[in-house]
Order: sequence, then structure tokens, then C-alpha cells
Amino acid sequence: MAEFLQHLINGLMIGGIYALMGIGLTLIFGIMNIVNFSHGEFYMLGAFGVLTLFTMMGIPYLLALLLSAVFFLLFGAVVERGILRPLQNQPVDVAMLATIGLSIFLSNLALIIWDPTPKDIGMPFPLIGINVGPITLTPIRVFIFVAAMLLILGSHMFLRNTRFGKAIRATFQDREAAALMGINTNTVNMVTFSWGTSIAAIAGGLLGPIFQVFPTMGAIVSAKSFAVVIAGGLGNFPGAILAGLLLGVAESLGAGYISSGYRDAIAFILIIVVLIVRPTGILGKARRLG
Amino acid sequence: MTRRKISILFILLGIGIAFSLPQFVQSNYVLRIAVASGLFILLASAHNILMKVGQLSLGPVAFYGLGAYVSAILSTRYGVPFVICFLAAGVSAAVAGWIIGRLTLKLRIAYFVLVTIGFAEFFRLVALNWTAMTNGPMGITAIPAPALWFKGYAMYYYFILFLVLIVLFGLYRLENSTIGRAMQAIRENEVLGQSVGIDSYRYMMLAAVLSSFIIGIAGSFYAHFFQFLGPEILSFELTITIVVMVIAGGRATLAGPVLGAILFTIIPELLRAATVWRMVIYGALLVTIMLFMPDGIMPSLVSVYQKLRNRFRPAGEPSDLRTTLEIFDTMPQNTGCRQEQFAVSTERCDKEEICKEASLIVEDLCVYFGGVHAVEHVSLSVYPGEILAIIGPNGAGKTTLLNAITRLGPITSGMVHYLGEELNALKAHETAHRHIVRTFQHTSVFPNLTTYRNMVLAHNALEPTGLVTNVFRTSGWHDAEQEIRRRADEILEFTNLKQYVDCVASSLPYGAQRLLEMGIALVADPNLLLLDEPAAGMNPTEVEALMELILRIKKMGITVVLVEHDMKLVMGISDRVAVINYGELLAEGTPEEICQDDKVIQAYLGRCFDDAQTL
Repeated sequence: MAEFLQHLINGLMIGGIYALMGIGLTLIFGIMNIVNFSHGEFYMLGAFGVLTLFTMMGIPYLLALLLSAVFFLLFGAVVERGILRPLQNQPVDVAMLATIGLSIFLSNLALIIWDPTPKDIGMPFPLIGINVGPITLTPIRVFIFVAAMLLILGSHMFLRNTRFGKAIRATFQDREAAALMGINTNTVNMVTFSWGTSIAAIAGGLLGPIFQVFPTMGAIVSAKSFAVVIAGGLGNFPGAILAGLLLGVAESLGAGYISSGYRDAIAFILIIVVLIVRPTGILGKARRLG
Repeated sequence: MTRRKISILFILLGIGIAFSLPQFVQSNYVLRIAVASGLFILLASAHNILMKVGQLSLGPVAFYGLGAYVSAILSTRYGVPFVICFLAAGVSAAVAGWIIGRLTLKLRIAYFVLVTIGFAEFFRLVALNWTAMTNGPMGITAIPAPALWFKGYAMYYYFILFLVLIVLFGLYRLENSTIGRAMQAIRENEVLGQSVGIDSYRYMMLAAVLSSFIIGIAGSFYAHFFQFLGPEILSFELTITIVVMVIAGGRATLAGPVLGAILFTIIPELLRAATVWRMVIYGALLVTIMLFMPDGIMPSLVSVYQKLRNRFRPAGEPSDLRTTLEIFDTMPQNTGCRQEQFAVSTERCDKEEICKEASLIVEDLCVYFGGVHAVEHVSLSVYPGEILAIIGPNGAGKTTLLNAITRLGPITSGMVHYLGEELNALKAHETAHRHIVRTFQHTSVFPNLTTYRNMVLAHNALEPTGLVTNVFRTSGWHDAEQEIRRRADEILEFTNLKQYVDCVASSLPYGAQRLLEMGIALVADPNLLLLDEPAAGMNPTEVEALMELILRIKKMGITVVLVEHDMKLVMGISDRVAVINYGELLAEGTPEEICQDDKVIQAYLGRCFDDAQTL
């Protein structure tokens, strides 16, 4: 039982990160109709951002995280303006291929800058175990989960309670109608994309201290974020959160009790099953945001 | 020289160079790249078949890996001869394509893209973890050569060249066949395709099976060429390579993937000089190509060529307006024979009068969308030879009714009969095969193709010819093609669209696009034609022409059901009018009766339009 709970808790922590990646990806798809293959690369770059600032330059971890988040906010805006906006009237696969090109570009650039050997970010928090009943928690894991949940909640509040959040939700419902109501849908695109990029980078910076950091780490996370987005229903915000947590737990339990070799297969089996049985995602049809 | 002759010359020259390559080049390195190019031409062209029906898959490696593993395991573990391994690879991949197709082809665009990634990754993880069969990450070694006399790269080179030529020839023949055109129709406008009788699921399945078969045999070639096989063959990077070749080369064209495959095999080799920067440059190049040539390199080259040609063309020669897709179109030219008027099918009434017995009977039809009762207990009969107008306020359920009849929309309860046959269980394309054809409220044509091509696509739905007939052009093929052309010409004349024959449909004036819609429907040979607001957005002159056209259609013995708001048109040409409000049938009768009907005046007409004009 204690082992089961431990797997569950670990699963929730990873699941929180998957959910974080998933909401960005699902929103970018819902608003911009772009299947963004460079999402995993932003995650990887976020981890390297923290590695550079925190480990190499000695800036405090939280500040490093914040600085890298701000940097990727700008970076996302540049990518949107320079690559995605010119392609927004092209077929879906053109923008998709452009993001694939960007992902190849970024991961190989990272390979040159930081070389391929996996690196340790180092531990920003004391390495002590807190025993809560039969399970052991470490401060970093608690921090990751809490930070992920806060970011998700923050995004939700932003979409729900601000004027711009309202504009984003309107664009999500009907781009043309929103434009006719005076919403600048280009700005909505840019904000959505740079917000998604920044949140992916934060996810990388959060998870970096637990795992090692290397230039090709984005690929598998990218694939899993897709699994989360599909399972939650494309463009479905609450669906992505639920699916992210579920995937994390399923993987953790699967690796613990079945076989760790097939752990990564769980995400893909999830994609296949959900799309065939319930193509609208686990939460059903509701096209709802925030 | 005509463009066709130039094309043929270029192709022959290319084949000549390809055949003599091993004579000039002794370097194994170059030959190896040439073999890799050939392999990628196979993969990209096969993957492109799915693009022809508008589906982007990111899982071609699933079939590639499957073919390779089947072939490798059969030959190393069971000593099966190469020929059988080779075919088994193709067949097993085709079967997998069929199964995955059955599961996924109802999905579209992003969903389809992502589920195909799922399958490919799943296959990869099986190859990695099922060590008993696949040797896992160690891979299968010492896979035998296809035959003992296969020595040196030149042998493999000729083998792959042979495969490439066969596949390209087959694909070329398909391009200009009923199958190729049906696929084009699905890609351009799936719903319109269905409404003229194209079974999109069937053609998508055909595309999936054909594509996976070719990829499967390419996998077998891979295994026996490299003689080593590991799970890397199932990597996502390889998928990307193939997709890049197809899209950057020019999706859904014949030459695009070939050019893409050659370029993107050679470019990474050239970039080796750039060492660590190689993939960085590759990624940047990909982004650049997408930004500046979103249709792909081949179509861009073709359009540059056309621009040059038009600039230097002698005065008086018509400009080149045909779309790039038709650049290699070698269909027999129109012979202009039109000895007979359109044949009138036997089900139609011979005389120009209305039959007494109804052909279409709608019985107690209800269509509900959740709590919305769009059509509520409507019963309606349509008599052969008449023009029946259905009018009513917006949102009254008129289009929903048409959708239910043509099976593009759902039926909650009730019955639709046509000539004694129940339509409820049919699919949309099957109603077209019963000669029930419709047009759409919002202009619906095949937008990126010429008017002529639009017409030709619509015909091909009715008498599809098989794969073998089209690839080998057996007897009957020429007659069938001739008939299609003749009919397209006839309808062009009938709808007065001759002047636009070579113009791209989306560039036509609005009125002409609406006529084109009617033309497309007429090519599909209707006995019952359902028009959904044909006059919407037309100016008075265009409406006049439309009225005249509909009357001529009626004269040919085609029954017309017309949903329309233009009262001049409705009252001017209808034999009967049915009024629908809130999903219910309000009144039914001759135009005069409807004009006098108090309920109708209250619900919809206000004052009848005659009075309105006199006042």
C-alpha cells in the first residue's frame, strides 16, 4: 500500500508537469490551429536556461526560473511573429512542418552550445525526506507539484477574469466573429503562443533538478504532451489537466508494477485508445476554455 | 514543341541518366547515396498517396519497419527465399494499413496526424522490447542479400531503380484516372465529392493500403540492402525526413516527392562539410522553405516556369491558366463530338408533364439536434418532372430537410423513400448513385481546380473504373474517358460556362461559381436535383439567367426541389410550393394558393410579393 501511494504521489508530480505542457499545447492548437512540434524544445531550452543561470552563473533558483520564463515569453513572441504569422493562412501541415524545422534547429543548436552529455542542475532545496505517514516527500517534489498547480490555476484565472482572457476565449470560439467585434486576433495569437512557450520553459526548469538535462530531452516530453492534449480533447483546457495527471499516474504505476521498458508506450496506447473510442477526448465534446 | 513533348523529353532524359549512372560513377559512396535516394523516392511517393486524399500521416515508418522486420525475420530465422519475404513484407504492411485505416480514417487533420504518430511509436517500442523476435536494440544482423549474384552497389541500384520506375508509372497512370480524380475531389472538397457520389472512405482506404504496401516492400529492400536492422528504422526522425520530402517537394503532385527525395538525400550529405552545424542548417532551411514556398519546391518551379512562358509568349496565344496539378495531364484532347443530347434515363418522365405518382416520399420526418427540433413531422411528396420550391424563414429547417434527404445529415425518425427504396440506411454518396444530387447553400466547388476539371471530377463518381483498368488502360478505358470528356463539354455548354473552361474555380465571378455548382451537379447525372438557395447573393440579371437554366433543366425531365428565398424566382418557376416554419410543414400548394394563404403570409411572406410590387 505504501509503495502504491508512493507511485501515486510520484505520478502526480510528473503528471502536473505533463498537464502544464498540455495546457500550453492545447491552447496553441485551439486558438491558432497549430500542431506545435517545437513545444518539447521550449521545455528543453527552459531546463538549459535554468542550468545556465542557476548552476553556471549562481543566480538563485527561483530568480533563474523567473528570468528564463520572461526570456521565453519574448522568444515565443518572436517565433510567432517571424514564422507562424506569415503561415497562418496556409494548410495546417505547412505551419506544422515549420515547427518541426524549428525544433530540429533548436535541439541541434543546443547540442552545439551545451554539448550532448547529460548534466545535473544541482539541488536548489535541501535534500531531506519528509515523512507523511507511509510515504516520503522531498521539498523539491512538493515544490514542483505546487508550482505546476499554481501556474495552471493562474492561467485559468487569467483566462476567466481578465479582459484579455475574455478576448482569448472569444477567439477560441470563433476567430472571425471575434475579429469583427474588434478583437485583434493577431495579438491573441502572439500572447497565446508566447505564454505557451514560457510555460513549457518553466516546466523544463522545474523538472530539470530531478532529472538530467540534455539537448534531446524535448522529444519524448513533446510526444507525451501530444498524448495529453489528445486524451484531453484537442483544445480542451480542463481535459488537458486531467489527462496530464492521469498519464503521470498511469506511467508511474505502469513502470512500478508492469515493466519500465514499456512505460513510454503507455502514452501512445492512450492516444490510440482515446482517439478510436472517444475522439473528442476524455471530457467529451465541451469546447470550453479556462 | 508542346509542353507534353517537353515533359516526356525530360522524363526520358532523366531515366537515361539514371540508367547509365553506374557506368560513369564507380564511387561506392555516390552509388550508396543514389540507392538511398531511390529508397526515399519510393517512401515519399507512397506517403504522398495519402496526401492525395488530403490526409497527413506521421506514421509511415510503422509500415516501413513492419515490412523490414517481417522480411528480415522470415529470411534469417526461417530461411524463406527473398522473393517471398519481399512480397510478405508488402502484404503484411498493407494489412496493417488496412487495419489502422479502419480504426483511424474517420479522423481528420490534427487527430489523424497525432494518432498515426501514436501507432508508429507503439511499433517502435514493440521492436525495441520484443527481444525474442526482434533482438531489441541489438538489431538483426547478417540478413542475406536478395540473391547470391547480388554483388556490389550497382545491383541494388538497378533493383531500386526498377522499383521506382514501376511505382512512378503506376502512380502516374492513377493520377489521370477515375481513382486519381476521386482522390483529388476528396482533397479539394470532401462533402461535395460525397454529394456527387464519391465514397471518400473507400478511396481513403485504397490510398492507405496502396501506400503501406509500397512502403512495406521498401522496408524489405532496406533490410536486405543494409543487411542489418535495428529499431532506428522506426524513429520519428525518419518520419520527419519522409514528410519533409513530400511537403517541401510538393504535396499531392507526382514529381514533387521525387524531387524532394533526391534533394533531401543530397542536401544533408553536402551539409556534412558543415559538421556540427549540419542539422542546425537543415532545420533553418526547412523553416525557410515553408515560409517562402509553402506549396513546395516543385509547384514553385512550375509557376516560375509558367510566368516566364507567359512573359515571352507570342501575342494572341492564350495565357497558361491551368493549375500546376495538371502539368503532366496527357488525357486525350476533346474531340468535340456531341452527336446526341444528354440521354434521358428511364426513370424520368418522358413528357414534359408532371407524373401522377410521387418519386420522393418524405414521411413523418423528424430531425432533432439535442433539444433543437429542426425538422418536426414533415411529410412531403415530390412528383417526377415538377419543380417544388421549399420556402420558409431562416432557421425553419429547410437545409436540414435537404441534408436528411441526401443523407449528409442525420434523421431522428421518419422515412425517406425514393422510387420505392428506403433512403434512411444509405450513405451520402449512395444517394448520388440513385441519381439524387444536390447543391449547397454556401458556394461549394472544387476551389483550386479549373472549371473543366471540376466537371470531370463530378462525373467520375458515377461509373468508377477499377485500379487495374486505370493502371494498364485496358480496353474500355479510352471509351470511358472519352465519355467523361464529352459529358463535361456538354454541361459546360448547357450552363454557359464555356468561357471559363480553363479558369480556376475560386477565381470565377460569384454568379459563375454558382452556375458551376449546378454544372457539377448536372454532370453527376441527377434525376432529382435539390438546389439549396441557388440564387442567394445573385443580382437580378443573374437570377433571370438562373430561372431560365432551371426551366431548361426541368425540360430535360429532371425533377427539381428548390430551397429559396427569392420570391420572384420561386413564384416564377415553381409548380408547387411547400412552406416550412419551425421545422413543421405550414402549407403546400400552387404558388397562387401559397400567396393567398393567411398562415404563410403571417409567418413568412408578409404581403405577397406581387402586391408589394404594385404598392
